[in-house]
Amino acid sequence: MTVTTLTKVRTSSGGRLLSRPGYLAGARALLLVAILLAWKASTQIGWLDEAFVSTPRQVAVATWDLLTGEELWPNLRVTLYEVVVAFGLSAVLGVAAAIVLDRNRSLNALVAPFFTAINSMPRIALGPLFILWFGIGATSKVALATSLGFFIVLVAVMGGLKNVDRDMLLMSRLYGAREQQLFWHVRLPWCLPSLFAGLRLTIVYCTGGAVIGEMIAAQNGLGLLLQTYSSQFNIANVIAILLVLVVMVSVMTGVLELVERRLLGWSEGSTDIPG
Amino acid sequence: MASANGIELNQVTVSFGRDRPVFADLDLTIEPGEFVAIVGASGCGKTTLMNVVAGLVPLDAGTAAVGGSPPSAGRPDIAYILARDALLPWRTVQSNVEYALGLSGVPRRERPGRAQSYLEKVGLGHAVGLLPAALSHGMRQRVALARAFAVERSIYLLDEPFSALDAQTKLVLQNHLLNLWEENRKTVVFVTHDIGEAVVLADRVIVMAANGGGIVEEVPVRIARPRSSEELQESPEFHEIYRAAWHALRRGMGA
Ligand SMILES: Nc1ncnc2c1ncn2[C@@H]1O[C@H](COP(=O)(O)OP(=O)(O)O)[C@@H](O)[C@H]1O
Ligand SMILES: [Mg+2]
Repeated sequence: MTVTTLTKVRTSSGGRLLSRPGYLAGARALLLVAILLAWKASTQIGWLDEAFVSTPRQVAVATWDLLTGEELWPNLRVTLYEVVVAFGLSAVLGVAAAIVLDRNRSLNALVAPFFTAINSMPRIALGPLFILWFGIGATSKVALATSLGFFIVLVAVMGGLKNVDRDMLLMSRLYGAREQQLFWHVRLPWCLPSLFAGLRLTIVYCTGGAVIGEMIAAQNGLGLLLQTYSSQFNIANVIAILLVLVVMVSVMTGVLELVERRLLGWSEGSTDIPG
Repeated sequence: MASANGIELNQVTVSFGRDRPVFADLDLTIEPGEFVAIVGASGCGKTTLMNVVAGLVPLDAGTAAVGGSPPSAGRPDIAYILARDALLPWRTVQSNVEYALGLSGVPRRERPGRAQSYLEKVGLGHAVGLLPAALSHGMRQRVALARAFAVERSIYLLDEPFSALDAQTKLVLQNHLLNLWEENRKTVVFVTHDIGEAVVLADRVIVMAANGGGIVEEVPVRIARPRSSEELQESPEFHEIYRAAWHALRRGMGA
C-alpha cells in the first residue's frame, strides 16, 4: 500500500508539468522552434551549407508553392493509392496466411525457412526486379510495398495467435465451444492488439516501399518528385515533399488509431491479464 | 453404484507414461448431490483426479463413470471451474456469463436475464457492465462462479478456485458458493489445500497422500446445513472436525 502511494507521488511530481495536455503541446512547440532556430543559425554562421540543407524559410515557401501548385496533388494521389492498396493487401494476406500457418503446424514447419529467406532479402534491392516484372506503373510499387507489409502483419498476427491464453481456450472448450467458436470468440479478439501494432508499422513500411519504388522508376508519384528535385539539388522541395509524406503517414495512422480505439477499448490498462 | 449424477472411479491408475504413477488403483464413489472436498499436498494428484473426471486425462488402468457414462471433455452435464478464472478481458461481466450460456446452447433471448440473475446471486448486480480489468480478484472469481452455475450443470468440479484470495474474501466466496449450491444441491467435487475451507463446504473431506499414495483417509463432516462460513469459524464442532482432518492430512504426508 505504502509503496504504491510513494511511487504515485514521485511520478506525479516528476512529470507534473508535462502531464498537463496544454503544457505538453506548448513544450513540443518550443522544441520545434528551437530546432528551426538552430537550423537557421547553423546556416548563417556557416556550420551547415545552405545549398545542402536549405533553410526553414525556403522550406516553408517551397511547401506553400507545392500545396498551391498543380504538381503535388496528382502525384500525391498516385502514392496514396499505392500505399492504401498495398496496406489492404498486406493486412488481408498477412492475416489469412497467419491463420492458415497457425492452424497447420506441418505446413508452417515446411514453409517457415522460405518465408524467412524471402523476408531477409533487402527489398530495396529487389526494386528494379519488381519494375521489370510488374512494369513501370503502380503495380510494381504496390508489389514492393506489399512484400514489406505482408511479413509485418504475418509475424505480428502469428505471434499473437501463438500465445493465446491456454486457460481461455480450455474454459471455452469445457463450456462446449467448437473450433470455429474458439477462433471467433478467443483467438481472433486475443490477437487484435498485436494485429494493430503490426498495422501501424505496416503503414510506415508500405509508404517507404511505394516511395522507393517510385524513386527507382516511375511516371508519377511523390518518389518521382523526390528523385527529380534531388537531382536538381532543390533541397527545399525535397524537404517539403518529405513533410507531405510525414503528414500522409500521420493521417493514416490517425485513422487506424480511431478504429483501434473502438475495437480495443478493453485492452487499455489490461495488458497483463490477472487471475 | 452411483449412476444419475454420481461419480464412480474403480481401480484408476494415471501415470502420464512415467514409471511412477500419479496415483494407482484409486477407488472413489461420490453420490449424486454430495459435496465432496479433496485435500492433499501440492503435487499429490488432485488436479489430475479432477481432470480424470472431466475427461481431460486418459486412464492407464481402471474404469471411470461420471453420471453413468465414461468421462469426456466438454460434456454438457459437467461444469469445471479452473483455478484461474479465465474471464475474457474483452467482454463485460454480463457478457462473459452470456458467452458461457451461448456455448452451452441456451437460446439467445434467455441469456441476458439468466446471466443477470446469477450475477445478482453472487452480489455483482451492480457490476454487470464492467470489464474484468476493473474487477478485484474476488469479484473475478465470483463472476466465474456465476458463469458456472448459470449454465446449470448437474456435476460441478472446482479446482482450488479460492486459493489466491485473502482469508476474508475467501469466507465471502465460500458463502456465495454454499448459497448457489443450496438452491438445488448438485454434485460438487471441490479441490483445496485449505482444510478449513474443505470442512466449511463439504459433506466429506477426502485426503490424498503425497508421493502417489492416492486416497488415504476420509473425514465425514456432519455439520448441519445451511452453513455460514463466518459463523462456523467460531463453532467448536467445526474445530473438532478441522483437527481430525488435519491429523489425517499429516498422516497422509508421512509425518
Ligand atoms: N499433463 C501432465 N503430464 C505429465 N505429468 C503431469 C501432467 N499433469 C500433472 N502431472 C504430474 O502429476 C503430478 C500431480 O500433479 P497435479 O495433479 O497437478 O497435483 P496437484 O493438483 O495435487 O497439485 C505432478 O507430479 C505433475 O508433475
Ligand atoms: Mg492442482
